[in-house]
Amino acid sequence: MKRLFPILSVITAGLLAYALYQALVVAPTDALQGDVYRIIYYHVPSAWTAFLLFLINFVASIVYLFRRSQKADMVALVCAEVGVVFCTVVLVTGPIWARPVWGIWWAPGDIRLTSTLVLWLIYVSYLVLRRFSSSAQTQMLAAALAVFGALDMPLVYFSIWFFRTQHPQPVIGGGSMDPRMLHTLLISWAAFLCFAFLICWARYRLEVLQREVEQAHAMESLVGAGVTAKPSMPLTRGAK
Amino acid sequence: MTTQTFLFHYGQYVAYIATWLIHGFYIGILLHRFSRARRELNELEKGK
Repeated sequence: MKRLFPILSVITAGLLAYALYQALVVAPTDALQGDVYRIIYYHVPSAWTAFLLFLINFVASIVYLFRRSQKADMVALVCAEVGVVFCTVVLVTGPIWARPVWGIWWAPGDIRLTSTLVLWLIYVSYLVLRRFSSSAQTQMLAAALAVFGALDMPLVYFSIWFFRTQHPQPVIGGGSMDPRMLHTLLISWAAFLCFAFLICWARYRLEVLQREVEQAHAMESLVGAGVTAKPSMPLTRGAK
Repeated sequence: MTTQTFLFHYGQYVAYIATWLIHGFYIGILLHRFSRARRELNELEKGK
Protein backbone atom coordinates (compact mmCIF):
# COMPACT_ATOMS: atom_id res chain seq x y z
CA MET A 1 0.00 0.00 0.00
CA LYS A 2 2.88 2.36 0.79
CA ARG A 3 4.25 1.94 -2.74
CA LEU A 4 0.87 2.35 -4.38
CA PHE A 5 0.44 5.95 -3.23
CA PRO A 6 3.59 7.33 -4.96
CA ILE A 7 2.82 5.30 -8.10
CA LEU A 8 -0.72 6.69 -8.21
CA SER A 9 0.63 10.19 -7.54
CA VAL A 10 2.92 9.96 -10.58
CA ILE A 11 0.09 8.61 -12.77
CA THR A 12 -2.23 11.41 -11.56
CA ALA A 13 0.41 14.09 -12.18
CA GLY A 14 0.89 12.74 -15.72
CA LEU A 15 -2.85 12.66 -16.32
CA LEU A 16 -3.29 16.22 -14.99
CA ALA A 17 -0.47 17.48 -17.22
CA TYR A 18 -2.01 15.71 -20.24
CA ALA A 19 -5.45 17.14 -19.39
CA LEU A 20 -3.94 20.63 -19.12
CA TYR A 21 -2.27 20.25 -22.52
CA GLN A 22 -5.56 19.05 -24.04
CA ALA A 23 -7.52 21.88 -22.36
CA LEU A 24 -5.24 24.78 -23.25
CA VAL A 25 -3.68 23.64 -26.54
CA VAL A 26 -5.50 20.79 -28.29
CA ALA A 27 -9.19 21.56 -27.68
CA PRO A 28 -10.62 23.87 -30.37
CA THR A 29 -11.47 27.50 -29.62
CA ASP A 30 -15.16 28.21 -29.11
CA ALA A 31 -16.71 30.18 -32.00
CA LEU A 32 -18.65 32.54 -29.69
CA GLN A 33 -16.73 32.68 -26.42
CA GLY A 34 -13.16 32.44 -27.69
CA ASP A 35 -10.62 30.84 -25.36
CA VAL A 36 -12.26 31.81 -22.09
CA TYR A 37 -14.67 28.87 -22.50
CA ARG A 38 -11.68 26.60 -21.63
CA ILE A 39 -12.52 27.30 -17.98
CA ILE A 40 -15.12 24.52 -18.31
CA TYR A 41 -12.24 22.03 -18.31
CA TYR A 42 -11.62 22.82 -14.62
CA HIS A 43 -15.05 24.13 -13.64
CA VAL A 44 -17.23 21.24 -14.84
CA PRO A 45 -14.96 18.33 -13.74
CA SER A 46 -14.59 20.00 -10.33
CA ALA A 47 -18.39 20.23 -10.04
CA TRP A 48 -18.87 16.57 -11.03
CA THR A 49 -16.16 15.48 -8.58
CA ALA A 50 -17.70 17.55 -5.77
CA PHE A 51 -21.11 15.97 -6.49
CA LEU A 52 -19.62 12.48 -6.43
CA LEU A 53 -17.87 13.17 -3.11
CA PHE A 54 -21.04 14.60 -1.56
CA LEU A 55 -22.93 11.53 -2.80
CA ILE A 56 -20.39 9.24 -1.11
CA ASN A 57 -20.72 11.40 2.02
CA PHE A 58 -24.50 10.87 1.87
CA VAL A 59 -24.19 7.07 1.54
CA ALA A 60 -21.51 6.84 4.25
CA SER A 61 -23.65 8.99 6.58
CA ILE A 62 -26.62 6.64 6.11
CA VAL A 63 -24.34 3.65 6.80
CA TYR A 64 -23.09 5.40 9.96
CA LEU A 65 -26.64 6.16 11.14
CA PHE A 66 -27.63 2.50 10.78
CA ARG A 67 -24.44 0.72 11.86
CA ARG A 68 -22.46 3.29 13.87
CA SER A 69 -19.45 2.30 11.78
CA GLN A 70 -16.39 4.47 12.53
CA LYS A 71 -15.00 3.75 9.06
CA ALA A 72 -18.20 5.04 7.45
CA ASP A 73 -17.98 8.14 9.64
CA MET A 74 -14.39 8.77 8.55
CA VAL A 75 -15.27 8.25 4.87
CA ALA A 76 -18.17 10.73 5.26
CA LEU A 77 -15.93 13.33 6.88
CA VAL A 78 -13.15 12.93 4.31
CA CYS A 79 -15.55 13.17 1.34
CA ALA A 80 -17.27 16.25 2.78
CA GLU A 81 -13.96 18.05 3.32
CA VAL A 82 -12.49 17.24 -0.10
CA GLY A 83 -15.90 17.90 -1.70
CA VAL A 84 -15.94 21.40 -0.18
CA VAL A 85 -12.51 22.09 -1.71
CA PHE A 86 -13.76 21.06 -5.17
CA CYS A 87 -16.99 23.00 -4.70
CA THR A 88 -14.89 26.06 -3.78
CA VAL A 89 -13.07 25.67 -7.12
CA VAL A 90 -16.48 25.63 -8.84
CA LEU A 91 -17.62 28.80 -7.05
CA VAL A 92 -14.36 30.62 -7.83
CA THR A 93 -13.90 29.59 -11.48
CA GLY A 94 -17.58 30.18 -12.36
CA PRO A 95 -17.47 33.97 -11.84
CA ILE A 96 -14.11 34.18 -13.69
CA TRP A 97 -15.98 32.79 -16.72
CA ALA A 98 -19.19 34.75 -16.08
CA ARG A 99 -17.56 38.19 -15.95
CA PRO A 100 -16.37 38.29 -19.60
CA VAL A 101 -19.25 36.19 -21.00
CA TRP A 102 -22.28 37.50 -19.06
CA GLY A 103 -20.77 40.85 -18.09
CA ILE A 104 -21.42 40.15 -14.39
CA TRP A 105 -19.57 38.11 -11.76
CA TRP A 106 -22.69 36.57 -10.25
CA ALA A 107 -26.35 36.42 -11.24
CA PRO A 108 -28.29 37.11 -8.01
CA GLY A 109 -31.39 34.95 -7.74
CA ASP A 110 -30.22 32.46 -10.36
CA ILE A 111 -31.32 29.11 -8.95
CA ARG A 112 -28.30 27.12 -10.21
CA LEU A 113 -25.81 29.53 -8.70
CA THR A 114 -27.74 30.05 -5.47
CA SER A 115 -28.37 26.34 -4.88
CA THR A 116 -24.67 25.59 -5.47
CA LEU A 117 -23.71 28.27 -2.94
CA VAL A 118 -26.24 26.81 -0.48
CA LEU A 119 -24.77 23.32 -1.07
CA TRP A 120 -21.29 24.66 -0.29
CA LEU A 121 -22.59 26.39 2.86
CA ILE A 122 -24.31 23.18 4.04
CA TYR A 123 -21.08 21.20 3.81
CA VAL A 124 -19.05 24.01 5.37
CA SER A 125 -21.57 23.90 8.27
CA TYR A 126 -21.05 20.13 8.42
CA LEU A 127 -17.28 20.63 8.74
CA VAL A 128 -17.69 23.40 11.33
CA LEU A 129 -19.95 21.09 13.35
CA ARG A 130 -17.38 18.28 13.13
CA ARG A 131 -14.53 20.58 14.05
CA PHE A 132 -15.94 22.58 16.94
CA SER A 133 -18.62 20.45 18.61
CA SER A 134 -17.30 18.31 21.47
CA SER A 135 -20.61 16.58 22.18
CA ALA A 136 -20.76 12.79 22.12
CA GLN A 137 -23.62 13.18 19.62
CA THR A 138 -21.51 15.11 17.08
CA GLN A 139 -21.02 12.23 14.66
CA MET A 140 -24.74 11.40 14.65
CA LEU A 141 -25.79 15.04 14.24
CA ALA A 142 -23.29 15.51 11.42
CA ALA A 143 -24.56 12.37 9.68
CA ALA A 144 -28.15 13.64 9.96
CA LEU A 145 -27.08 17.04 8.60
CA ALA A 146 -25.32 15.32 5.70
CA VAL A 147 -28.46 13.31 4.84
CA PHE A 148 -30.64 16.43 4.80
CA GLY A 149 -27.94 18.47 3.09
CA ALA A 150 -27.79 15.96 0.25
CA LEU A 151 -31.37 16.93 -0.64
CA ASP A 152 -29.90 20.08 -2.19
CA MET A 153 -27.90 18.05 -4.72
CA PRO A 154 -30.81 17.11 -7.02
CA LEU A 155 -31.95 20.75 -6.87
CA VAL A 156 -28.52 21.92 -8.02
CA TYR A 157 -28.29 19.30 -10.76
CA PHE A 158 -31.81 19.57 -12.17
CA SER A 159 -32.24 23.32 -11.72
CA ILE A 160 -31.02 23.99 -15.26
CA TRP A 161 -33.57 21.51 -16.63
CA PHE A 162 -36.62 22.72 -14.77
CA PHE A 163 -36.06 26.43 -14.12
CA ARG A 164 -35.18 29.45 -16.22
CA THR A 165 -31.58 30.09 -15.37
CA GLN A 166 -28.70 32.05 -16.79
CA HIS A 167 -26.36 29.09 -16.33
CA PRO A 168 -25.56 27.18 -19.58
CA GLN A 169 -27.37 23.94 -20.32
CA PRO A 170 -25.79 20.63 -19.19
CA VAL A 171 -22.73 19.57 -21.15
CA ILE A 172 -23.86 15.96 -21.54
CA GLY A 173 -27.43 15.39 -22.67
CA GLY A 174 -28.27 19.07 -22.87
CA GLY A 175 -26.69 20.33 -26.03
CA SER A 176 -24.41 19.58 -28.93
CA MET A 177 -20.75 19.67 -28.03
CA ASP A 178 -17.81 19.24 -30.34
CA PRO A 179 -16.49 15.65 -29.84
CA ARG A 180 -12.95 17.02 -29.31
CA MET A 181 -14.22 19.28 -26.53
CA LEU A 182 -16.13 16.40 -24.95
CA HIS A 183 -13.03 14.19 -25.18
CA THR A 184 -10.93 16.86 -23.41
CA LEU A 185 -13.64 17.35 -20.79
CA LEU A 186 -13.74 13.63 -20.01
CA ILE A 187 -9.93 13.45 -19.78
CA SER A 188 -9.97 16.41 -17.39
CA TRP A 189 -12.62 14.71 -15.29
CA ALA A 190 -10.59 11.49 -15.15
CA ALA A 191 -7.55 13.51 -14.02
CA PHE A 192 -9.53 15.37 -11.36
CA LEU A 193 -11.11 12.11 -10.16
CA CYS A 194 -7.67 10.51 -9.73
CA PHE A 195 -6.48 13.63 -7.90
CA ALA A 196 -9.57 13.63 -5.64
CA PHE A 197 -9.04 9.93 -4.87
CA LEU A 198 -5.42 10.60 -3.85
CA ILE A 199 -6.38 13.54 -1.66
CA CYS A 200 -9.17 11.50 -0.02
CA TRP A 201 -6.73 8.68 0.62
CA ALA A 202 -4.22 11.04 2.27
CA ARG A 203 -7.00 12.72 4.29
CA TYR A 204 -8.30 9.31 5.44
CA ARG A 205 -4.83 8.36 6.65
CA LEU A 206 -4.60 11.68 8.47
CA GLU A 207 -7.97 11.07 10.14
CA VAL A 208 -6.81 7.61 11.30
CA LEU A 209 -3.60 9.16 12.67
CA GLN A 210 -5.50 11.97 14.43
CA ARG A 211 -7.86 9.46 16.05
CA GLU A 212 -4.86 7.43 17.23
CA VAL A 213 -3.42 10.58 18.82
CA GLU A 214 -6.76 11.36 20.51
CA GLN A 215 -7.03 7.78 21.77
CA ALA A 216 -3.46 7.91 23.09
CA HIS A 217 -4.20 11.22 24.86
CA ALA A 218 -7.36 9.73 26.39
CA MET A 219 -5.49 6.60 27.51
CA GLU A 220 -2.78 8.77 29.06
CA SER A 221 -5.41 10.74 30.98
CA LEU A 222 -7.01 7.51 32.19
CA VAL A 223 -3.64 6.13 33.32
CA GLY A 224 -2.88 9.45 35.03
CA ALA A 225 -6.21 9.21 36.85
CA GLY A 226 -5.33 5.71 38.06
CA VAL A 227 -7.69 3.83 35.76
CA THR A 228 -5.95 0.74 34.37
CA ALA A 229 -8.75 -1.03 32.51
CA LYS A 230 -9.14 -0.39 28.78
CA PRO A 231 -12.25 1.53 27.74
CA SER A 232 -15.04 -0.80 26.65
CA MET A 233 -15.86 1.40 23.64
CA PRO A 234 -13.50 2.93 21.07
CA LEU A 235 -12.80 6.51 22.03
CA THR A 236 -13.95 8.95 19.44
CA ARG A 237 -13.64 12.67 18.89
CA GLY A 238 -16.97 13.22 20.59
CA ALA A 239 -15.91 11.28 23.67
CA LYS A 240 -12.98 13.42 24.80
CA MET B 1 -7.68 46.99 -20.41
CA THR B 2 -10.80 46.41 -18.31
CA THR B 3 -11.29 43.37 -16.07
CA GLN B 4 -13.83 42.04 -18.56
CA THR B 5 -11.43 42.27 -21.51
CA PHE B 6 -8.53 40.90 -19.47
CA LEU B 7 -10.60 37.88 -18.39
CA PHE B 8 -11.90 37.37 -21.93
CA HIS B 9 -8.31 36.90 -23.13
CA TYR B 10 -6.65 35.34 -20.08
CA GLY B 11 -9.58 34.01 -17.99
CA GLN B 12 -8.66 30.39 -18.67
CA TYR B 13 -5.20 30.93 -17.16
CA VAL B 14 -6.58 32.91 -14.21
CA ALA B 15 -9.08 30.11 -13.49
CA TYR B 16 -6.35 27.49 -13.81
CA ILE B 17 -4.10 29.34 -11.35
CA ALA B 18 -7.05 29.86 -8.97
CA THR B 19 -7.91 26.15 -9.13
CA TRP B 20 -4.40 25.07 -8.17
CA LEU B 21 -4.00 27.79 -5.55
CA ILE B 22 -7.09 26.38 -3.79
CA HIS B 23 -5.84 22.78 -4.06
CA GLY B 24 -2.32 23.82 -3.06
CA PHE B 25 -3.63 25.66 -0.01
CA TYR B 26 -5.62 22.59 1.05
CA ILE B 27 -2.63 20.26 0.50
CA GLY B 28 -0.55 22.65 2.63
CA ILE B 29 -3.13 22.40 5.44
CA LEU B 30 -3.10 18.59 5.17
CA LEU B 31 0.71 18.46 5.34
CA HIS B 32 0.71 20.75 8.38
CA ARG B 33 -1.89 18.60 10.13
CA PHE B 34 0.07 15.42 9.26
CA SER B 35 3.29 16.76 10.75
CA ARG B 36 1.48 17.96 13.89
CA ALA B 37 -0.26 14.59 14.41
CA ARG B 38 3.02 12.67 13.88
CA ARG B 39 4.85 14.98 16.30
CA GLU B 40 2.13 14.51 18.95
CA LEU B 41 2.18 10.75 18.51
CA ASN B 42 5.98 10.67 18.85
CA GLU B 43 5.84 12.81 21.99
CA LEU B 44 3.21 10.51 23.48
CA GLU B 45 5.35 7.45 22.70
CA LYS B 46 8.42 9.12 24.25
CA GLY B 47 6.43 9.95 27.37
CA LYS B 48 5.52 6.29 27.97
